[in-house]
Amino acid sequence: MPNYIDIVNLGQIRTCSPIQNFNAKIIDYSDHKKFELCSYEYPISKHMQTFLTQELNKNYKAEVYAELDVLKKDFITEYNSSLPETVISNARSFLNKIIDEHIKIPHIAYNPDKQIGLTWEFSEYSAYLTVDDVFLRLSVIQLSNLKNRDSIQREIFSSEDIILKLKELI
Amino acid sequence: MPNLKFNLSDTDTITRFIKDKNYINKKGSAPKITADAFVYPKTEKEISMAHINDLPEFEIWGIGDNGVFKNSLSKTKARADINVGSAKNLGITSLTILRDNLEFNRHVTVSSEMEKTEFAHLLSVISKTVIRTVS
Repeated sequence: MPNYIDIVNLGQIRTCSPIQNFNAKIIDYSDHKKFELCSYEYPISKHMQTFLTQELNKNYKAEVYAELDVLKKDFITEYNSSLPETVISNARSFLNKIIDEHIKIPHIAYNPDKQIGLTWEFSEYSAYLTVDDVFLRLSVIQLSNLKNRDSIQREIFSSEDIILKLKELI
Repeated sequence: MPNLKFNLSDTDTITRFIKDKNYINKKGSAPKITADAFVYPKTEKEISMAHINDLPEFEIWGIGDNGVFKNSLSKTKARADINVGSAKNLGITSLTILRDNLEFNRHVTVSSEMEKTEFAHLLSVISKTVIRTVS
Protein backbone atom coordinates (compact mmCIF):
# COMPACT_ATOMS: atom_id res chain seq x y z
CA MET A 1 0.00 0.00 0.00
CA PRO A 2 1.45 3.41 -0.94
CA ASN A 3 2.49 5.73 1.80
CA TYR A 4 0.00 8.52 2.53
CA ILE A 5 2.46 11.40 2.11
CA ASP A 6 3.88 9.87 -1.06
CA ILE A 7 0.41 9.94 -2.57
CA VAL A 8 -0.04 13.62 -1.74
CA ASN A 9 3.25 14.44 -3.39
CA LEU A 10 2.62 12.42 -6.54
CA GLY A 11 0.49 15.07 -8.16
CA GLN A 12 -1.50 12.69 -10.31
CA ILE A 13 -4.84 10.97 -10.15
CA ARG A 14 -4.39 7.68 -8.44
CA THR A 15 -6.52 5.59 -6.15
CA CYS A 16 -5.16 4.33 -2.92
CA SER A 17 -6.17 3.39 0.61
CA PRO A 18 -4.14 5.68 2.83
CA ILE A 19 -6.38 5.13 5.82
CA GLN A 20 -8.32 2.01 6.60
CA ASN A 21 -11.79 2.07 5.02
CA PHE A 22 -11.02 5.22 3.04
CA ASN A 23 -10.29 5.36 -0.67
CA ALA A 24 -8.72 8.45 -2.09
CA LYS A 25 -7.41 10.12 -5.22
CA ILE A 26 -5.25 13.05 -6.20
CA ILE A 27 -6.80 15.57 -8.59
CA ASP A 28 -4.30 17.73 -10.42
CA TYR A 29 -5.74 21.18 -11.11
CA SER A 30 -3.80 23.83 -12.99
CA ASP A 31 -3.07 25.89 -9.91
CA HIS A 32 -3.20 23.33 -7.14
CA LYS A 33 -3.56 19.69 -6.33
CA LYS A 34 -6.37 18.31 -4.28
CA PHE A 35 -6.40 15.07 -2.37
CA GLU A 36 -9.95 13.77 -2.24
CA LEU A 37 -11.69 10.91 -0.56
CA CYS A 38 -13.81 9.07 -3.07
CA SER A 39 -15.53 6.62 -0.78
CA TYR A 40 -15.92 6.23 2.92
CA GLU A 41 -18.16 4.70 5.49
CA TYR A 42 -17.77 6.69 8.67
CA PRO A 43 -19.95 9.74 9.38
CA ILE A 44 -16.94 11.88 10.23
CA SER A 45 -15.88 11.64 6.61
CA LYS A 46 -18.76 13.96 5.74
CA HIS A 47 -16.46 16.60 7.12
CA MET A 48 -13.34 15.02 5.72
CA GLN A 49 -14.20 14.61 2.09
CA THR A 50 -11.27 16.67 1.00
CA PHE A 51 -7.73 16.49 2.21
CA LEU A 52 -5.65 19.42 1.04
CA THR A 53 -2.19 19.45 -0.39
CA GLN A 54 0.51 21.12 1.62
CA GLU A 55 -0.01 24.34 -0.32
CA LEU A 56 -3.69 24.55 0.56
CA ASN A 57 -2.97 23.33 4.05
CA LYS A 58 -1.36 26.71 4.69
CA ASN A 59 -4.68 28.43 3.95
CA TYR A 60 -6.50 25.97 6.16
CA LYS A 61 -4.06 26.61 8.98
CA ALA A 62 -4.69 30.33 8.61
CA GLU A 63 -8.43 29.71 9.01
CA VAL A 64 -7.89 27.62 12.13
CA TYR A 65 -5.54 30.20 13.64
CA ALA A 66 -8.12 32.89 12.92
CA GLU A 67 -10.67 30.81 14.83
CA LEU A 68 -8.23 30.60 17.71
CA ASP A 69 -7.91 34.40 17.70
CA VAL A 70 -11.70 34.76 17.86
CA LEU A 71 -11.69 32.34 20.77
CA LYS A 72 -9.18 34.50 22.66
CA LYS A 73 -11.36 37.59 22.22
CA ASP A 74 -14.55 35.76 23.21
CA PHE A 75 -12.87 34.47 26.36
CA ILE A 76 -11.91 38.00 27.42
CA THR A 77 -15.47 39.19 26.77
CA GLU A 78 -16.97 36.42 28.87
CA TYR A 79 -14.52 36.18 31.77
CA ASN A 80 -12.85 39.58 31.73
CA SER A 81 -9.47 37.87 31.75
CA SER A 82 -7.24 36.29 29.13
CA LEU A 83 -6.47 32.75 28.12
CA PRO A 84 -2.80 32.25 29.07
CA GLU A 85 -0.42 32.66 26.13
CA THR A 86 1.11 29.28 26.96
CA VAL A 87 -2.29 27.62 26.43
CA ILE A 88 -2.76 29.41 23.10
CA SER A 89 0.76 28.49 22.09
CA ASN A 90 0.31 24.83 23.02
CA ALA A 91 -3.04 24.68 21.26
CA ARG A 92 -1.52 26.25 18.15
CA SER A 93 1.35 23.80 18.21
CA PHE A 94 -0.97 20.80 18.48
CA LEU A 95 -3.41 22.13 15.86
CA ASN A 96 -0.45 22.56 13.56
CA LYS A 97 0.52 18.94 14.05
CA ILE A 98 -2.89 17.48 13.39
CA ILE A 99 -3.41 19.60 10.26
CA ASP A 100 -0.06 18.30 9.02
CA GLU A 101 -1.42 14.82 9.65
CA HIS A 102 -4.48 15.72 7.55
CA ILE A 103 -6.78 15.30 10.52
CA LYS A 104 -9.76 17.61 10.24
CA ILE A 105 -9.97 20.24 12.98
CA PRO A 106 -13.14 19.80 15.00
CA HIS A 107 -15.02 22.47 16.87
CA ILE A 108 -12.74 24.58 19.06
CA ALA A 109 -13.98 25.92 22.36
CA TYR A 110 -12.69 27.03 25.74
CA ASN A 111 -13.79 26.19 29.24
CA PRO A 112 -13.74 28.07 32.57
CA ASP A 113 -10.47 26.39 33.52
CA LYS A 114 -8.71 28.32 30.75
CA GLN A 115 -8.28 25.18 28.71
CA ILE A 116 -8.96 24.85 25.00
CA GLY A 117 -11.15 21.92 24.05
CA LEU A 118 -11.50 20.00 20.78
CA THR A 119 -14.32 17.55 20.19
CA TRP A 120 -14.48 14.88 17.51
CA GLU A 121 -17.65 12.90 16.87
CA PHE A 122 -17.05 9.55 15.20
CA SER A 123 -19.64 6.94 14.34
CA GLU A 124 -18.80 4.70 17.26
CA TYR A 125 -16.73 6.97 19.46
CA SER A 126 -16.66 10.46 20.81
CA ALA A 127 -13.30 12.01 21.61
CA TYR A 128 -12.60 15.09 23.68
CA LEU A 129 -9.22 16.72 23.96
CA THR A 130 -8.23 19.43 26.39
CA VAL A 131 -5.13 21.54 25.97
CA ASP A 132 -3.71 23.61 28.80
CA ASP A 133 -0.27 24.94 29.66
CA VAL A 134 1.02 21.53 30.76
CA PHE A 135 -1.03 18.66 29.41
CA LEU A 136 -2.90 17.29 26.48
CA ARG A 137 -5.64 15.03 27.72
CA LEU A 138 -7.67 12.87 25.37
CA SER A 139 -10.82 11.11 26.54
CA VAL A 140 -12.33 8.52 24.23
CA ILE A 141 -15.83 7.29 24.85
CA GLN A 142 -17.45 4.36 23.11
CA LEU A 143 -20.97 5.53 22.32
CA SER A 144 -22.58 2.10 22.38
CA ASN A 145 -21.24 1.52 25.86
CA LEU A 146 -20.63 4.76 27.69
CA LYS A 147 -19.35 2.87 30.71
CA ASN A 148 -16.43 1.65 28.62
CA ARG A 149 -14.18 4.66 28.74
CA ASP A 150 -10.62 5.11 27.71
CA SER A 151 -8.47 8.11 28.27
CA ILE A 152 -4.86 8.87 27.72
CA GLN A 153 -2.94 11.78 29.06
CA ARG A 154 0.38 12.93 27.73
CA GLU A 155 2.60 15.90 28.19
CA ILE A 156 2.11 18.58 25.60
CA PHE A 157 5.42 17.89 23.88
CA SER A 158 4.71 14.21 23.29
CA SER A 159 1.48 14.42 21.33
CA GLU A 160 2.29 11.56 18.93
CA ASP A 161 0.34 9.03 20.97
CA ILE A 162 -2.72 11.24 20.83
CA ILE A 163 -2.41 11.67 17.07
CA LEU A 164 -2.02 7.90 16.69
CA LYS A 165 -5.11 7.34 18.80
CA LEU A 166 -7.14 9.79 16.69
CA LYS A 167 -5.98 8.09 13.48
CA GLU A 168 -6.96 4.76 14.96
CA LEU A 169 -10.46 6.11 15.66
CA ILE A 170 -10.81 7.58 12.16
CA MET B 1 -38.56 29.93 48.04
CA PRO B 2 -38.30 26.44 49.54
CA ASN B 3 -34.72 25.40 50.11
CA LEU B 4 -35.18 21.71 50.68
CA LYS B 5 -32.57 19.46 49.11
CA PHE B 6 -33.85 16.32 47.43
CA ASN B 7 -32.84 13.65 44.94
CA LEU B 8 -34.48 13.47 41.54
CA SER B 9 -36.08 10.39 40.04
CA ASP B 10 -34.73 8.56 36.98
CA THR B 11 -37.47 9.91 34.76
CA ASP B 12 -36.67 13.55 35.56
CA THR B 13 -34.85 15.88 33.19
CA ILE B 14 -32.19 18.40 34.10
CA THR B 15 -30.59 20.94 31.80
CA ARG B 16 -27.49 23.06 31.38
CA PHE B 17 -28.24 26.52 29.97
CA ILE B 18 -25.90 27.96 27.34
CA LYS B 19 -25.33 31.60 26.44
CA ASP B 20 -21.89 31.32 24.86
CA LYS B 21 -21.87 30.42 21.16
CA ASN B 22 -18.47 28.73 21.58
CA TYR B 23 -20.23 25.96 23.45
CA ILE B 24 -22.45 25.13 20.49
CA ASN B 25 -20.75 22.97 17.89
CA LYS B 26 -22.53 23.63 14.60
CA LYS B 27 -20.04 21.87 12.38
CA GLY B 28 -21.55 18.41 12.64
CA SER B 29 -24.77 17.09 11.13
CA ALA B 30 -26.74 18.62 14.00
CA PRO B 31 -25.83 21.26 16.61
CA LYS B 32 -24.29 19.79 19.74
CA ILE B 33 -23.40 21.33 23.08
CA THR B 34 -19.69 20.76 23.62
CA ALA B 35 -18.13 19.18 26.67
CA ASP B 36 -16.62 22.55 27.63
CA ALA B 37 -20.09 23.70 28.61
CA PHE B 38 -20.09 21.09 31.38
CA VAL B 39 -16.70 21.93 32.84
CA TYR B 40 -17.15 23.75 36.13
CA PRO B 41 -14.63 26.37 37.27
CA LYS B 42 -11.73 25.45 39.55
CA THR B 43 -13.36 27.44 42.32
CA GLU B 44 -16.39 25.15 42.38
CA LYS B 45 -16.87 21.47 43.14
CA GLU B 46 -20.00 20.89 41.11
CA ILE B 47 -21.85 21.93 38.01
CA SER B 48 -25.06 23.97 38.18
CA MET B 49 -28.04 22.79 36.20
CA ALA B 50 -31.81 23.17 36.41
CA HIS B 51 -34.67 20.76 36.99
CA ILE B 52 -37.13 21.35 34.13
CA ASN B 53 -39.80 18.70 34.54
CA ASP B 54 -43.41 19.68 33.87
CA LEU B 55 -42.56 23.19 32.72
CA PRO B 56 -43.67 24.80 29.44
CA GLU B 57 -40.88 25.91 27.12
CA PHE B 58 -41.18 29.63 27.91
CA GLU B 59 -40.76 28.96 31.62
CA ILE B 60 -37.72 26.76 30.99
CA TRP B 61 -35.98 29.49 28.98
CA GLY B 62 -37.08 31.95 31.66
CA ILE B 63 -35.00 30.08 34.24
CA GLY B 64 -32.01 30.58 31.97
CA ASP B 65 -32.65 34.28 31.34
CA ASN B 66 -33.89 35.34 34.76
CA GLY B 67 -32.08 32.87 37.01
CA VAL B 68 -28.85 31.51 35.60
CA PHE B 69 -27.91 34.53 33.48
CA LYS B 70 -29.80 37.25 35.33
CA ASN B 71 -26.66 39.42 35.60
CA SER B 72 -25.60 38.88 32.02
CA LEU B 73 -26.30 41.10 29.02
CA SER B 74 -26.51 38.09 26.70
CA LYS B 75 -29.40 35.72 27.14
CA THR B 76 -29.86 31.99 26.85
CA LYS B 77 -29.05 30.63 23.40
CA ALA B 78 -29.43 26.90 23.92
CA ARG B 79 -29.61 24.17 26.50
CA ALA B 80 -28.40 20.61 27.00
CA ASP B 81 -31.11 18.37 28.43
CA ILE B 82 -30.10 15.26 30.35
CA ASN B 83 -32.26 12.42 31.58
CA VAL B 84 -31.36 11.68 35.20
CA GLY B 85 -31.68 7.91 34.69
CA SER B 86 -29.28 8.00 31.72
CA ALA B 87 -26.70 9.81 33.82
CA LYS B 88 -27.04 7.28 36.65
CA ASN B 89 -26.67 4.39 34.22
CA LEU B 90 -23.25 5.59 33.11
CA GLY B 91 -21.68 4.22 36.27
CA ILE B 92 -20.11 7.59 37.08
CA THR B 93 -18.11 7.48 40.30
CA SER B 94 -20.02 9.02 43.22
CA LEU B 95 -22.52 10.78 41.01
CA THR B 96 -24.70 13.22 42.93
CA ILE B 97 -27.69 15.03 41.42
CA LEU B 98 -29.39 17.21 43.99
CA ARG B 99 -32.18 19.76 43.66
CA ASP B 100 -31.56 22.55 46.19
CA ASN B 101 -33.00 25.87 44.88
CA LEU B 102 -29.93 27.65 46.28
CA GLU B 103 -28.89 29.76 43.28
CA PHE B 104 -32.33 30.05 41.70
CA ASN B 105 -35.62 28.25 41.71
CA ARG B 106 -35.18 24.66 40.45
CA HIS B 107 -31.40 24.86 40.86
CA VAL B 108 -29.67 21.47 40.70
CA THR B 109 -26.06 20.58 41.52
CA VAL B 110 -24.36 17.71 39.72
CA SER B 111 -21.03 16.37 40.92
CA SER B 112 -18.74 13.36 40.72
CA GLU B 113 -15.31 12.22 41.85
CA MET B 114 -14.44 11.49 38.22
CA GLU B 115 -11.77 13.59 36.47
CA LYS B 116 -13.82 16.62 35.51
CA THR B 117 -13.07 16.94 31.79
CA GLU B 118 -13.99 13.30 31.30
CA PHE B 119 -17.08 13.81 33.44
CA ALA B 120 -17.96 16.84 31.31
CA HIS B 121 -17.53 14.85 28.14
CA LEU B 122 -19.83 12.08 29.36
CA LEU B 123 -22.53 14.61 30.24
CA SER B 124 -22.12 16.15 26.78
CA VAL B 125 -22.43 12.77 25.06
CA ILE B 126 -25.72 11.87 26.76
CA SER B 127 -27.21 15.34 26.49
CA LYS B 128 -29.84 16.39 24.01
CA THR B 129 -29.18 19.79 22.46
CA VAL B 130 -32.05 22.27 22.24
CA ILE B 131 -31.40 25.50 20.32
CA ARG B 132 -33.59 28.47 21.20
CA THR B 133 -35.60 29.46 18.17
CA VAL B 134 -37.53 32.46 19.50
CA SER B 135 -36.33 35.34 21.67
